[in-house]
Amino acid sequence: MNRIFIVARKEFRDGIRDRRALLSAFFFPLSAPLFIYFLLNAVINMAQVDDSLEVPIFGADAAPGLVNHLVERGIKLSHRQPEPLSTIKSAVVNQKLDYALIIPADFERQMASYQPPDLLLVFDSSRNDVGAQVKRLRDTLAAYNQELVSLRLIARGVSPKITVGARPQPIDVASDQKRTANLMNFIPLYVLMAAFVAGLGIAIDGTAGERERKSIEPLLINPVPQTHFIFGKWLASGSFALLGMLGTLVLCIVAMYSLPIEQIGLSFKIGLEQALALLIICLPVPYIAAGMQLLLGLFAKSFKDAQSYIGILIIFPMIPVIIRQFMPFVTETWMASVPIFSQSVLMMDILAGSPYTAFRLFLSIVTGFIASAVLCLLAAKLLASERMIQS
Amino acid sequence: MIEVQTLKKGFGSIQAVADVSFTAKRGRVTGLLGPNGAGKSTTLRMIYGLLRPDQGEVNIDGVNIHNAPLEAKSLLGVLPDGHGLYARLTAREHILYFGELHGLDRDTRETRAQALIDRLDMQSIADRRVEGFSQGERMKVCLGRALVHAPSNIVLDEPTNGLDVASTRKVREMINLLRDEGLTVLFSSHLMHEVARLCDDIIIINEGRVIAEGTPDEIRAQGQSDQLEDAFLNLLEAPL
Repeated sequence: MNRIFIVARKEFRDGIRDRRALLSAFFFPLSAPLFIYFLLNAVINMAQVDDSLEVPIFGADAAPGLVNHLVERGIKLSHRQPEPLSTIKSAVVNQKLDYALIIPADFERQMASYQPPDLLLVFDSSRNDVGAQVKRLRDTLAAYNQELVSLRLIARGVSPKITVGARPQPIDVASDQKRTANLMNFIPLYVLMAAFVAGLGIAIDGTAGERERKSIEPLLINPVPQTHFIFGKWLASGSFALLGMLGTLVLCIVAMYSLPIEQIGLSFKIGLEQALALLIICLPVPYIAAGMQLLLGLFAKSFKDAQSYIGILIIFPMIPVIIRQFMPFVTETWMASVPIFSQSVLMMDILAGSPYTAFRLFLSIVTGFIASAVLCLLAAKLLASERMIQS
Repeated sequence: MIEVQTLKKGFGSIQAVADVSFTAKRGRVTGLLGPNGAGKSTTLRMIYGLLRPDQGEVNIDGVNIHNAPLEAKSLLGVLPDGHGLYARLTAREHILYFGELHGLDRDTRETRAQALIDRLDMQSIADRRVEGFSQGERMKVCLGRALVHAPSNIVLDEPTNGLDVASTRKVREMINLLRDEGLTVLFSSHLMHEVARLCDDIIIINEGRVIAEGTPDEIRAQGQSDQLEDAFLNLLEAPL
């Protein structure tokens, strides 16, 4: 038992001194939440309608009624002298204008003769940042039309209701938090990925690295059972991975709290209890990752070989998130017994504010640690095989 | 004392060791001599327990390496064929780590480490990371960590390979010292003159079999030459 800690301490010390590996181990876990913060922040800003923005309007003089309607609805207008359509179009293409509303010079005359005039709305639909503004303008114009039609019908003694067939009434049962969860599937994804990334270097160094630098033979000559070597290396690399994962988890939660997501009608409510549950759920993941990496690392003869084998493992934490994106499902209890999958699914549930049971948490942790122990025992068996010292 | 009885080991279709028996006695230096590919490293790896023989057995001071590997290994100090170091640990940390793995308490391993550092003349490099060490300096670290648990038997696989003259001499001095302290020293080499100078007993193996054994004088007689090197070549060429 004591030897396990001796091996772990040596691997840990060796890992901490490896500056380059340390940087690559913690670069991802620490930068992912930051990246997410700035990305979501930008998304939120785009989704908001900035009231202070003015709508460039050409030929406003021709339609005082319409202009009044827009102003009454709180839309600020920036009046421009009429210009040829092609000039305006190229101004929008070159982003000198975000978009433009063009009123034809004979607007009133056409209206008077019941010829619907064309209101030209020039915009660039590939620009995400003005989408919300354009939509508001279109909605306001549609409302103006509706009002106009109603007035015309009333003038002829017809009820405007005749123009309405059935009215669709959407009832959305998703809570704010649930809708937010969709946006937040990246949290379990990044947290689990961090667990696979942060301990990687130290796991490879302790397996393929030992073989490559030929330090494995003197090491194995020591009177220490192979299982002790493996569990020591597992403890060191798993703890590195744990540090990276916890860093990511905390930073992700902090990032979500500091984002103004209520401005887009969403909410993020994680209490102490949920935060603890998240922590407990993901606890086994670094140790499962370490077990997988040690086992695969022993198959490789060099650091480079191992990196290419082990790089593939990062796909494991991605699978559940991808499945849930494209084939939504409700969590069943059996899912809590599938390592990696269970952690991802349970974390998503907690973030979405869905109910979770202590039994599922328990099942997930137990199966997780069993899986990592099995991986370690397999690795110890491999370490005892004669191929380890043959190059 | 290291006793080796009728060892046999094959890898696939290759019979690396066909039949090797010998005894390396306490207080004597025993040289395992043979050309490259004769089965020296495979034999030594079976002795220190990293390869399992297909047949035969190895006893270290009467302890069977395969039945009681941990006990037998603690009686052995080994400088194996592959002897890599951890680039980011210092020389002293290497020695202390192996001391810990052998279960030595803190005081014992620190005292032993310092004694070995003094003895191997490595005071000036003891607390430097081994990255960038010369071959000779690396060899000293390997010897230090192999000896930290004060084993009664020491096995060295081609210890002077790749060393310069000064380092080679240092290793030879060390072998003599260990023998004088009463240890069993077993080392392998493909250099006849090295074996001739150092060994009390010589075992010559070729193609996985012992083809001659005895003191240098006995080997000269068996090889029918006054020169050990000629005797060695005569023995290699003689039909089995």
